[in-house]
Amino acid sequence: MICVTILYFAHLRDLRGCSEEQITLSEVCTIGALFRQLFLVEPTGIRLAIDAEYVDTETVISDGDEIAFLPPMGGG
Amino acid sequence: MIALAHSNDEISIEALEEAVQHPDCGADLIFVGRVRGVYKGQSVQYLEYEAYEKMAIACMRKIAIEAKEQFHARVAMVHRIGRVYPNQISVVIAVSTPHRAASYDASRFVLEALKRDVPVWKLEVTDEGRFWKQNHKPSESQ
Repeated sequence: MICVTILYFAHLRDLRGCSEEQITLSEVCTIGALFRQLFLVEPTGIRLAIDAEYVDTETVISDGDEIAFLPPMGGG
Repeated sequence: MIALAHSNDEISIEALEEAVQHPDCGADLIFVGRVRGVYKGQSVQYLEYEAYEKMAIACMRKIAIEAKEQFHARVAMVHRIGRVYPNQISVVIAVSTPHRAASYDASRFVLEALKRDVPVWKLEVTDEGRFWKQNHKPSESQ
């Protein structure tokens, strides 16, 4: 079993209805696949991070990861 | 100095400049970003900034290191988080380099990298509603 924490920001938080959740996966998957599973679309324009570092869609997630889905930035 | 300032925290432009000053550096440049009161004809009530804070700080530190490597620049920056009203400061970037040309280049490099890579978002609240605003590429910005 793989337990991860997922963080949602900006419009993704609005879509998901929460800013953070813990989920348990029964099998190994990539962060891109996890996004598709949760939002039913490709993560186009969304940047992905594990433990506060950018990763690509094919990065495999591990037990204990802090995953973040990052919509287009608006800082400055 | 690399920091996020929450709504009621003071941002001292002087403190940022002091943080980058060095006897080897003769060119300090301060960029101050403020909230516009009007955007595309709509009156802006306020912006609400949020961040993935620990990653934002890590990204800002990384940008400062890159600016040091590329431009020999000493960099300090503070970004506001929370509610910010028109004419209030949203971001301050201070750079200091030995000579002026590198100072202009470094300031722009830091701002564009911040807008592209630092996980900060802004909700714009206008008379027409609430909108998540995303940054444009430099070539698209006005």
